[in-house]
Amino acid sequence: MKKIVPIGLLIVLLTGLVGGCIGGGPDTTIADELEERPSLSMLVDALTSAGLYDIFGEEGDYTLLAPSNDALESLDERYASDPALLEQILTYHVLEGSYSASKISQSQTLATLQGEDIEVKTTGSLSIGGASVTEQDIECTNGTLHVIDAVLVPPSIEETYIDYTFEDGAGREVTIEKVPERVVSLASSATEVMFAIGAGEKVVGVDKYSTYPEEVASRPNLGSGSSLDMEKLIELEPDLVVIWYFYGDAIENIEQRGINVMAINPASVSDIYDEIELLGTILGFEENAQDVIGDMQARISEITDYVDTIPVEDRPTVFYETSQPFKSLNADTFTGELIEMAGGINIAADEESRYPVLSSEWIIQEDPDVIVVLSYGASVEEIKARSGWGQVSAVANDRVYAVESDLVTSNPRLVLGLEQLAKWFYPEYFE
Amino acid sequence: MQDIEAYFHSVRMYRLTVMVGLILFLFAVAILGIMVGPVSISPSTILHIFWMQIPHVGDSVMQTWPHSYTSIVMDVRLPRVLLGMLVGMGLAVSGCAMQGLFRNPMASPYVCGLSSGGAFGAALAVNLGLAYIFLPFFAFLFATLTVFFVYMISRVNNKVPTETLLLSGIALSSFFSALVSLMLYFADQQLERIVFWMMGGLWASTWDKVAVTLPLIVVAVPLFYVLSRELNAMLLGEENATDLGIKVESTKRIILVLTAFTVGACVAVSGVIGFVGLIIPHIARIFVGPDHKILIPASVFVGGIFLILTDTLARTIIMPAELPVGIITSLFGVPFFLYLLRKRKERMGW
Repeated sequence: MKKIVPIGLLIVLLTGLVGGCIGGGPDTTIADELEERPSLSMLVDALTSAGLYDIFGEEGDYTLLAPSNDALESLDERYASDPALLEQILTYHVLEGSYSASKISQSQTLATLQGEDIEVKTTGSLSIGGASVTEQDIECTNGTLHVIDAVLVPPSIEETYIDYTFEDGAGREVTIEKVPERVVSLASSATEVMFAIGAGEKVVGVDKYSTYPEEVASRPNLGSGSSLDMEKLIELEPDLVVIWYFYGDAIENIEQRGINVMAINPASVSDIYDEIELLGTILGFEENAQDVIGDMQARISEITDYVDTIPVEDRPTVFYETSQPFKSLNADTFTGELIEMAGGINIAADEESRYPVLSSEWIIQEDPDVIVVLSYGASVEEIKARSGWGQVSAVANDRVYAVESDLVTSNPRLVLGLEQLAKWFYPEYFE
Repeated sequence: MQDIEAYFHSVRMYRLTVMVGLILFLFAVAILGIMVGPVSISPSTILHIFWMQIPHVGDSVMQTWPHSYTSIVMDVRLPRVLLGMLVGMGLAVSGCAMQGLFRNPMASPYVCGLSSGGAFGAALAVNLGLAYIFLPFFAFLFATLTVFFVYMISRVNNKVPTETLLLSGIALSSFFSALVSLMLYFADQQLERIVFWMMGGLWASTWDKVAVTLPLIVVAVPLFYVLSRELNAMLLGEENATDLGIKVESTKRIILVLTAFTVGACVAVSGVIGFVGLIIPHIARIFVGPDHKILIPASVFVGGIFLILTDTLARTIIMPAELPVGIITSLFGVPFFLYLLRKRKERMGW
């Protein structure tokens, strides 16, 4: 869609007008100069519709960095279609006072009418906020005009309008145009991640399973993905809803109301890193996210480094029981991965079902060294009292433990769960 | 007259044969249940393990197998098979009595709200954070209380019309189910195990549970048998039964109390196992006819056999994992039942 301006015409215009300007002092205004250049016609239109054009025809002292038609054409549609944004972008191209090219190259930053500064780089050729000057020092009665080859976007706008597209946990393509400021989290994992990276302020509503950190209690509770308080959700006016991938109906329902939805499905520790990184990126907390990930990795490798030195046959065998009696989990589950990382040999690791219900007698035969049960499942006493379990090593050696469910699922606190498991598996080393 | 006597004689012989056959079958199934499992233990080892349990004599046995095998046979398989037998018997005999009492082939032992009452009790125990040993106790208490309530609600002028009994049973069942759902809704994670418990199963069998259930079944089954004349008469309708000198109201009361205790105990130790109490009496009826004198003992044994067999399947079919026994009872029991039903239809012409 680029307009091809006949080169001959361009040269004629340039030599004639520049000459006119310089020779014997300027006698044209910035507006006149703009008017006479077809390659700046789009800027004229834009300034006119923003109500800014007239000031360049009046008396004053301005410097206008004029993006060419080519530059304006390649401007992101999101900015071009929003008049308020366009006005900010245009005023970002105006400097108060007359700046010649040489004066510009002596400064590091330029204060703009919009309020934010433009960075200047002089290494190699002159670059103003990333744009090159294609025609410089057009002196006019009310200031100076420089033609540049790119539109300058204020950093605040660039940070807000991230236009970030990714595939979410439900396999949907999600585009985040603007950094979300009001997030409803219907997934405890995401709630914890957002607070961990310091974006807790943006969380305006949570589901009933989001109970950590304590601040969550002050946020409106919207039930859960399967029994969602839709009225409350709409009232909160979120610009992003984060939800577990398996609540398909809720995802569709929220989407239909024009609210951006992002599904998460963290199934492994590395998925958690990805989730932290992703939420960091779209919420504008990249650095914090990297810090959280780095801290997790450091603490995890402290454990895995030790475990790596233990031969597999010397590692303790583990029976892990979920909320239902005799129901365990295999290696493909999140907790299964944690058990392995902590150096335990999960006796149900190779089961076909992700959450197999095991036979009591088989568990007795496997004779696990350690039994870990979810805190809201069977009690430790109940497990010890099971018929025929008295001889099982874990029971005989008093190594039956209850673990809090939050510590062994997909959230940043999994590190605490991992450390807890490692202590139970290798008490002599990690105590 | 000789023909009639010959007929009764042949009926008696047939019934005797059926009962002897069922008892032998029960033994065979129980032995099978003890022999098979995810851990393969040879029959001779199992025999040795049993031998070892006999005081004094057993001391001479040399143990050549892992210690865990003894636990598996004595503390896992044996109580499980025994509990399966007792629960199967209890559910089948109660179902049989309920179908007779209500003159309704759709009646099950849970018809008066025993299952949802029991579930409510269990959920309450978990919700109150009580120790695990209270769960069966609460289940039993609320199961029996529900029947008591249903009975009291239905009583008008010292009479309890069976229709009213049935309807108030269904109503109270729904009410308790709603209460359980409500508790599940508000305390979901903690009560997850209740959902599992409600599916029913014998995975948590212990000698304690056998010890509690055994006396109840041993007392209840003969009492049900004693009532078979009354149940037969009730099949003719309440007025006709009264004419035959049956005390209809007190019979109802006794049967309800017996069912409440028997099924309450079954629910308490094994959760809500469906299908057995509903279908087993029908299967027994296909073999021995509607006379409760033979129907009740036959149901007792078919129930015991059926639950041991299905539970053995449930714990071996995807070893070392287990399926809920309720899936097996329906998956294998229903086609078998339908097959018998069709056979009878062909034979009887209806």
